[in-house]
Amino acid sequence: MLYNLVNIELLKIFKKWRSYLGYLGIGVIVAIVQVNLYLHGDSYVNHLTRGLSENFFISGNLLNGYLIAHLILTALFNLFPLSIVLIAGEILAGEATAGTYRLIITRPVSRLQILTSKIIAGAVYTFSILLWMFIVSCIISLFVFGSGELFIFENGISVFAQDDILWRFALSYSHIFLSMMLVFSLSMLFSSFVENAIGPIIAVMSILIVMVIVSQLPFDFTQTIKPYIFTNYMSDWHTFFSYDIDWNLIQKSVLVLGGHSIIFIIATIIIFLRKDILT
Amino acid sequence: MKKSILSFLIFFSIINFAQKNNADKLISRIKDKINKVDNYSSEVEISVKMDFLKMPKSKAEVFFKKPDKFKLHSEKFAILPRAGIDFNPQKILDNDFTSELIGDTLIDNKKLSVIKITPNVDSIKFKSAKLVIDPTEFLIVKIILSTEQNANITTNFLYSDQKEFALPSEIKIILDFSQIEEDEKNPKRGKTIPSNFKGAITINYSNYKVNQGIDDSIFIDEKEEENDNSKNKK
Repeated sequence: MLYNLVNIELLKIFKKWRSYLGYLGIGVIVAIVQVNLYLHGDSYVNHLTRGLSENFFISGNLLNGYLIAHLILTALFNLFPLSIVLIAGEILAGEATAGTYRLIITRPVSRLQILTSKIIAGAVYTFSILLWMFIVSCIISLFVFGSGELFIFENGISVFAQDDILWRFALSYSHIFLSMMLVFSLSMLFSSFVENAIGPIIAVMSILIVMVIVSQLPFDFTQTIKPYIFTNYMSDWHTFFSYDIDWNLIQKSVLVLGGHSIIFIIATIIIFLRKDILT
Repeated sequence: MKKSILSFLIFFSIINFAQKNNADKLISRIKDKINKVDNYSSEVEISVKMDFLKMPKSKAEVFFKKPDKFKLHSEKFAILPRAGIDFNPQKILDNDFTSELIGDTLIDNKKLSVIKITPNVDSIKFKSAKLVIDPTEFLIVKIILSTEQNANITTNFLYSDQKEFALPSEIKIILDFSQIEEDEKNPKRGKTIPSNFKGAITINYSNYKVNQGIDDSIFIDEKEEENDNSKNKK
């Protein structure tokens, strides 16, 4: 039964044109970056290694698929929440807008099953966005630019051997998936309150932007509350691309992101189960 | 009194001359050995431990041809410090310098000579260098180099089967750029590369091919070659 419900929810998601905006945005931006690096990649690498090549002989393919995949992931990471919110914001409110709420809850399935199917469908959509990102940024880049060691220019330079890269991407994408599920669950919670999808989309994006700005402000107060702002933990996937992975940081980050997601989902379940649906 | 001062000055001059003479002799013998090498290639394994650069061990091939052609070739990423790896002691020894035997030192129970080299002309890019030399086999065991920018580079050499050509089996380069003076108006390094750093690079050499001839084309940079080709097409 749940399988059918999930399929129906996925059908609803992928029937809407706005569901493809995320894929389109990622595809276009990645293509622009790849074409630019294909044409002017050498000057980009020269800029990155400026200073290093003055003192060192360097050999090897620096501009490779892994470097580009990491570069794109870092640049487009902030785009993911927008594509998730567009779908999650109307996952419940959309039913109200379309007037299908009463129709779906009069079927012989529980409200919990309906909500569970929506959460699973949302997770599948989130996963598909990240998978798309990995395919276009990493796999296509590997085909076009070839393979090689991964350079990370952060707190100095870290170079990772080819057989030491994919697991880092896998864990990073897993961490990002958890972050995006938090965005999804928050959007779904807001979506359960209202009957129009625009509200949750704007509200969640506003919350995310405000949280990011507040945590960047260099004041004592903002630094004090920084550990309680969940957006701070979303970029912790960067630590997988270091030689000394701070597993305590990852553990804390997973607990914070996962914990918030669970709280938002439980809150959504409570609201949805008790919701007096009149439309 | 005057006589004794004069005697002391003459004695000091003789000692000084003798020390310089000894230093020059040692350097001359080392140069003879190095001069036997017209070209060589070797496989290298590079291990880097630096503050700002973390990387796995890498393998590469190095090529050298007189007078100063050097090429590092690797399909994978490899990095070698310019100060050290293309180390051709002739770069130091062919310059106009004053050498002075300043004493002996004991390394691995072996008595080694220490020679101080001071450049005589401003064009040379190091302030001073100390060479620790094996006086029996005429091999450089250690070079301690101070650059004009206050960088200190210590290079330790180990030898095995290529002693005849003074080619090392292992080089350990200790870089200390912590006191380096950078031109603030014209910073050369990118933001990811610190101005000041410390670190060590160990290079193990194997499969030396000495004086077997190396084509000049090996030393042409692939990018330069591409540029040349595209210019010719135009």
